[in-house]
Amino acid sequence: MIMGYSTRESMMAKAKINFEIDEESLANAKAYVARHGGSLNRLVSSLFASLGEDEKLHAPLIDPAKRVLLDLSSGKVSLMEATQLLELPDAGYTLRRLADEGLPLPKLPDDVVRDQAARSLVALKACLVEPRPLKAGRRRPVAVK
Amino acid sequence: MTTLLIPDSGPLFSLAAADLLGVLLHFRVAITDVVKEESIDKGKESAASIEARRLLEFYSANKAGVELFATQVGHDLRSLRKKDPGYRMPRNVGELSIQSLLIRLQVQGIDAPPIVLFEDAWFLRNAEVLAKPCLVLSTQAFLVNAEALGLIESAAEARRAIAALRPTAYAKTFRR
Repeated sequence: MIMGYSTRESMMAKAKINFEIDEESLANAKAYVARHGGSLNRLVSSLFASLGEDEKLHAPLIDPAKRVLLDLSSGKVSLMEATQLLELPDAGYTLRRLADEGLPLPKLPDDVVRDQAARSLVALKACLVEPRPLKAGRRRPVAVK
Repeated sequence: MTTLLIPDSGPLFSLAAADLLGVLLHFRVAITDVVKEESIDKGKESAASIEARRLLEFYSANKAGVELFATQVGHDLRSLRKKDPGYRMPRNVGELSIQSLLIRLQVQGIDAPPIVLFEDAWFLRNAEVLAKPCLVLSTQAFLVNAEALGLIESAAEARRAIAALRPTAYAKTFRR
């Protein structure tokens, strides 16, 4: 038997699906609804909504420190915030932890970086202590070991 | 008058991670008292990271090339600490101190809006809402422009070096 359901009762967007079901299973479902109230629509919807819930309950909890590093990597928290949350002595340790976990640095989309760089190049040139042409006359910075 | 480049703490640590602090010497750099406390001063602690030590060494060797600005935020933090030695700094206080400096510079009527250098994550969380007048710049875009200005060989290489914390891997490409 082919059934068609349209669930229009709630405010959420609805989709219509068709699927095949044994006559016996359908009779069983109808009997269940008759005993407990509701409708076949609600019964099927609630079954679909509950899928995966048990997986969530049994999902391994992410280590809170790893969570902070993941948030740092995705840009949800700043380097300094992450350092505070992890209670590390300074942000150098946080960068180290990020690298050790194999997590990437937060990354801006390439077009955003290109746009920012283009918009700021002239202003950045105005910050140069000794403005110089490209790849010429560079001053040797103090080496930091 | 040369425009100010004001880095937040995050970019300072990133540049230190790739041993790229020397790039800053090409610019007129200003840091706030709070940013100094969050980054450079951490190098004084016995458990300081390599990056924090590198920042302290860099600052000690180049004090004349880095302008230090006291801010109202820094003043307030010191007052709060006097009253309560266990006082914990609020989050992103370095950014607040930069805002404090920007307000001060605006009141003083600076000629050109400074450039504020933030870590890339800042741009993922904020829509460049910092008080104008200033130009905000991500570390990624700063590196792209440093390459364009011939100060570093490759922005992409620099970023890889920051991510890997392997300054020696970048030594060959850093233009000294």
